[in-house]
Amino acid sequence: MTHKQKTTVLLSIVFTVIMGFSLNTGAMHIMEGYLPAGYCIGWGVLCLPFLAAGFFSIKKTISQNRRTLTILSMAGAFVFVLSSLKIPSVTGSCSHMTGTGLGAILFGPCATSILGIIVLIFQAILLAHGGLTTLGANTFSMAIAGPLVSYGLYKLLPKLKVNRLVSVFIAAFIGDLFTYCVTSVQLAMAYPSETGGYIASVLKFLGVFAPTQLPLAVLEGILTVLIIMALENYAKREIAVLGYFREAK
Amino acid sequence: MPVWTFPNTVFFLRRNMKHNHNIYSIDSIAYNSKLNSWNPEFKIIFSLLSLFACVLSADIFVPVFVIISMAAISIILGKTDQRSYFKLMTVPLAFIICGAIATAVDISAEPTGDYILDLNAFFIHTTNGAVFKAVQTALKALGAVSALYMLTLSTPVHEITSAMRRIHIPKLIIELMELIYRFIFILAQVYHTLNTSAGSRLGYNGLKTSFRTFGTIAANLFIISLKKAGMYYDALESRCYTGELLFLREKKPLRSRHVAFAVIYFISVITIMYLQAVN
Repeated sequence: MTHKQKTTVLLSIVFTVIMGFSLNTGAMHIMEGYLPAGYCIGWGVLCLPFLAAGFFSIKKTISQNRRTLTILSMAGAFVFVLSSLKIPSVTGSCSHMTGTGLGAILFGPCATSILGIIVLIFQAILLAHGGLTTLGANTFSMAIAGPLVSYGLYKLLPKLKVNRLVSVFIAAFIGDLFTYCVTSVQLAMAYPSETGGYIASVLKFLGVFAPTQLPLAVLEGILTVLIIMALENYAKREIAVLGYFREAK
Repeated sequence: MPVWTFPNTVFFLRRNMKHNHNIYSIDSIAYNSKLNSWNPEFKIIFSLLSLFACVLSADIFVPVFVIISMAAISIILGKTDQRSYFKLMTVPLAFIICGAIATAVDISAEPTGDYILDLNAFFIHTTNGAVFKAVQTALKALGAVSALYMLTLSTPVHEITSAMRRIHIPKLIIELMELIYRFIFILAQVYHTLNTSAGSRLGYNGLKTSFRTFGTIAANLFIISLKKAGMYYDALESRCYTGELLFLREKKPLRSRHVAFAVIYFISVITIMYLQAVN
C-alpha cells in the first residue's frame, strides 16, 4: 500500500470507531446483554429505594387530585416522544434529547424516576433500545442520577442569585453530562481495561464519549431553556398544576 | 446517518408510510401475527427464559440457536413479513455492532496487545481475547433482542400489561403504562401535524431557525398534551371512572401443543449447553 492508501485506511478505521462510540452513546442506553448478571441485579437493587419513593410520591399526588393521573401519563408519553425526536444538529448526525432534565424540572425527581422506568421499558420492548436485563443500570443513569442532579441544581442555583433561565440551562446540561458519566462508569465496571484496569477503562469510555456527548449536552440545555420559555409564555396555568411555579416564585 | 438510530427514524419513517417499520407498525404486526392467538403469559415466559438463556450462556452456540430459532418462529409460525422482520432487526444490530467495537478496543499510551493502531498521540489496541469476547457479547445481545422481538411482534402491549397486573405489579404503575402507551400514539400524531406545518412555513430554514422551531414544537406538544390529558380525564369521569381502568381480556387458553413445543425447545437449548460443557 502506498502511504496515501495507508492514511486513508487508517482514517476510515478511526472514523468507524468514533462513529461506533457516538452511535452507542447517542442512545446512551446500555444494550441488552452487555452487562453481566451481577451488575444487572446490583443496579436494579440500587434503583429500588428511588422507585419506591417515586411510587409513593405519585400515589400521594393522585390521591389528592385524580386528574393528575392523565397528566402524568401524558407527561410520560411526552418524554417518550421527545426522546425520539431528531434534534437539528450541526454535524447531521442523529441526536436526540433525553428529556429527563426537563422532566425533573417540571415534575420533580421522584415522579421522573417512575415515568423514566416506564419509558425505558417501552423503549426496550418496542424499539429494542436499551434492554430488560440492563433496565436497572439504564434506569439508574437516566431516570435517577441525571434527574436528581438536574433537580438539585435547578433548586440550588436561583438561591445563589443565578438567572432562572441560566439555571435551567445549567441544570439540564449538567444532568445530561452526569447521565453519561454514570453510563461510562457502569460500562467500565463491567469491562475493565486489560492494561489499565478499572480507572483506565472509565477514562477510556469518558474520553471517547466526550466529543459526542459534550455538544449533545449543550443542545439539551439550550432546548430545555427554549421549551421552558415557551411553556412560561403559553401554559402558565397548566404547568402550575404540576407544581412548577410552587417554589419558583 | 439518520437511518441508524431508531428513535429518529420513527418519525422519519412515518412520513414514508410505505416503508412503515416502526412502533406503529409493531402494533399492527403484533395484532396480525398468527402467534397472537397463543396464550400471552406463555409467550412472555417463553421469551424471557430464552432471553436469560442467551445472557447467561458462556458460549456462542445458545445465542446463535436462539437468533435463528426466534427468526424462524416469528416468520414461519407467526407469518410476520420477513422483510419487516429483518428491517426491524437491523436497528438494534447497528447498536450492537457499535457497542461491540467500543468494548473491544482499548486506548493507552503504551503499544500493547495483538492489534495496534498508532495515532501518534496514543494507541488504539485490542487483543484476540477481547475481540472474541466482543463477538460473544454481540451475539448474546442479538439473541436477547431476538427473543424479546418474538414477544413484541406477537403480543399487543395491553396483553403484556395485563400479565404484569396478574403478577401484582402495583395497579398504579400498570395504569400509567397503559395510558402512556395510548398517549404515545396520540402525541406522535400531533407532532407529525406540527412538524409538517412548521416545515411548510420554512421552519427548518437554517440552524438557528431549526432550533427555535424544535423548541416551539416541543413546548406546544407539551401544552397540547396537557389539554388532551384534561379532556381524557373528563371522558373517563363521564364513563364512571373511579380509579381503576379495566380492559376486556380475550380468552387465550394455553394449548398442550404449545407447551410441548416449548419443552422441546428448551431441551434443545439445554442439550446445546451440555454439549458445549462436555467439549
